[in-house]
Amino acid sequence: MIDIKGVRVRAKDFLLKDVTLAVQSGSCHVVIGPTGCGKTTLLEAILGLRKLQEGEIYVDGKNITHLPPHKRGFSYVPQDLALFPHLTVWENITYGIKQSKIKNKTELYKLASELAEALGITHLLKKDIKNLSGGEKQRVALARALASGRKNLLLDEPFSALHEGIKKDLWLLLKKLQETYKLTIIMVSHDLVETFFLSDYISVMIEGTIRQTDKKEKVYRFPSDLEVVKYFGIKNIFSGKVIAMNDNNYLVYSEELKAKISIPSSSVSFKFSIGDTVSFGIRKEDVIILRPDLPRKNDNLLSGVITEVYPKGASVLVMFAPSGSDLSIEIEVPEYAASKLNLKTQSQAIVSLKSERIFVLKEPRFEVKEAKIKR
Amino acid sequence: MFSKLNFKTLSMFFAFSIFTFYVGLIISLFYFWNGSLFVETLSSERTLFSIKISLIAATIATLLSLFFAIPSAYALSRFDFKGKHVIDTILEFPLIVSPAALGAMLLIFFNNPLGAWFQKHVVQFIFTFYGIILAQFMTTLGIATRLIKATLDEIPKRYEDVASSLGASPIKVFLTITLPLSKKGIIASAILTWAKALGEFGATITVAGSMAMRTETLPIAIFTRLASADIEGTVVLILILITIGFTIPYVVRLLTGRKSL
Repeated sequence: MIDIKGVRVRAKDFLLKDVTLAVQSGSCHVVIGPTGCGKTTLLEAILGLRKLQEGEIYVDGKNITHLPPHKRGFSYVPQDLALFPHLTVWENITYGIKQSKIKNKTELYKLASELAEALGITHLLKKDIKNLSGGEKQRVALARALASGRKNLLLDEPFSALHEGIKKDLWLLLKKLQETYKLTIIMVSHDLVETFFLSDYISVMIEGTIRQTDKKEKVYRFPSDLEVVKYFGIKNIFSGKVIAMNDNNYLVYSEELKAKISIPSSSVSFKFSIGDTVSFGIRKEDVIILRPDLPRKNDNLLSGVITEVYPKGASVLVMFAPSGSDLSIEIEVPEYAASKLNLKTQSQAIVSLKSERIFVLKEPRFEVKEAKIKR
Repeated sequence: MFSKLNFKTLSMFFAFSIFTFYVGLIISLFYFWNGSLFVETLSSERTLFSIKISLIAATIATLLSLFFAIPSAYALSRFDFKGKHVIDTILEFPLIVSPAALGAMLLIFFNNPLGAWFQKHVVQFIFTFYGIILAQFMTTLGIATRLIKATLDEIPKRYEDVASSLGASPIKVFLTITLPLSKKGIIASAILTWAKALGEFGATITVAGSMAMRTETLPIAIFTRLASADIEGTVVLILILITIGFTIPYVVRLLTGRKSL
C-alpha cells in the first residue's frame, strides 16, 4: 500500500498542496486532471525527485519520505519513455536487474524474458532503440520498468503519444500485467477514456489540489463539485429548490427548467431541507429522448424542441430546449437510436432525466451559472 | 545581383569567407617556403624538443582540465545551489583577461607568501615544465567546463531519473547513463581544449619563460624565431604546429568514431 499524507511541493511558481492518497496494493490509481494541474509534480515527489515542503510518503508502512530515488522501490515510466538510446532493447530491459543488489539474479533475468514474451518484443531484443516504432518503445519501457521485480509502478501519461488502435492494445496488456504480477500502479493521465478503462480508483486533481478521490464508478456517477464537473465536460448543470422530500426522494423545482425534478436520496451524500437550493446535473448520455409512440413510464419528463443535431460517428449530439426555459440540455444518443427516432432540428420531443443518474453538487449557485449553456 | 541571393546562398558565402580567411593565411606562408630548411628545422634537436613538450604539456593540461571540468560541469548542469551563477560566470575569466594577464596573475600569486611556500614545498612552477602545464591548464579549464556543460545540458535529465528509479545510485547513473550519452560531446570538448592548450602562448611564456630545450613550446619557438627575424624558420614551425594541430584531433575522431565536431 502506498500512503501519501498531506504532501506539499513547490515547483517554481506552482504549488501542490495537501495531497493525500491511499493507494491499495494491487490496484491502479489514476490521478486525472488538466495539463499543468500538478500530476507530474506529484509523481516526481513520490519518486523522490522533488523535495516535499510538508507531508510524508509511506510504502507498506515504511516511511520513504527521506530516501533517495534509487532506494524507494518504484519503477517509473515517464511520458517520453526515456529509453536509454545508447543501449539495445535487451540492455534497456535488464538495466534495473544489473543495478539490483540481489546476488542470484537468475530469477530476474527469467522475469525479463517472460515479460519480453508477454509484451511481444522478443524479436526486438537485439535492436537499437532508435529503430523501434512508438508502440514497440512503449512495450520496451513497460518491460524495463517491471523487469527489476518492483511491484510499485509510476506511469506518467505513458500512452499519450500513441494512436487509438495501439493505445487500446496496450491498455489491455497493462491490465493483464497488473493482474499477473499484482502491481500497484499510480498513473497520471488527462485521457478520460483511458482513465475509466484502466483505473480502480480515480483522483481528480485541479490546480494542485485533489478535488475528489473515490472508486472509479463513484467518480463517474457522482462528480463532487463544479470544477470536477467542468473537467469532465458535463454541461447539464442546473439549480433548483427542494419543495418536498420523503425517505427515498427529494423533489426539486427548477425555475431554469420550469420543471419538478425527482432526485433519489441515495444519490445525495448530504442532507437537504425544504427550501434549500441545490445544484444538480446529469451526463448527456443519461438523458433519454422518448419515442412518441411508446407509453411514458419514465420520470422527470420535459417537453420541448430539438434545436441542433450533430452527428459524431457512433453517436449523435442533440441540443434540446425545454418549453418555457432559456437553457439547452445536451443529449448524446447512439447513432442507431438517433436514426430510429428520426431526430430533426425544430421538431418537438419529450426527454427524461433519469432520476437515478442525477448527481448533486455542493457548489454555490453563482458558480453553477457559469457552466450553463445559454441558448 | 544581390536581389537574386537567397538566404541559403548568403549564409554559404559567409561560411566560405571564413574558410578563405584562414586558408589564405596558410597559403601565404609558402611565399617563404624553403624545402631544405624545413627538413633541417624539423630534424633539429631543439624543434623536436619543442614538439615533444608541446604535445606532452597540452595532453596533461587537457586531462587535468577534464578531470576538473566533467564533475564541475555536471554540478552546474544538474543542480541548483548557492553560488552557481557566480561559478558559471567565472568560467569566462580566462577569456576576459588576456592569457598574458593570466600568466602575470600566476607570477604574482607565486610571489606572495602562500605561492612562495607552495613553490618551495610542493612544486616549482616558475620557469619550469610544470609552469607550462599550469599556464595551459588555467587557460583551458573554464572553456573545457563551459563546453562540457553545454553537452550535458543537451542530455535530458529524464534518463537519469529513470535510471535512479531502477535502482542505480547517483554515481552509477553518471557512469552508466550520463557519461556514455555525453561521450561524443566530451571527446569534442577534449579536442578543442587540447588544441587551445597546444597553441597557448601568452600565459605560458609569462610563467615558464622561453628557455630553449627547457620550456620552449612550439608557439614560443615561433615567437623566438620571429623575434630574431628568421621568417623562413618561423614559417617552418608554423607549418609543423598546423600539421600537428589538425592531424591529432583528426586521428582521435577516427579512433572514437566521431566524424565531426
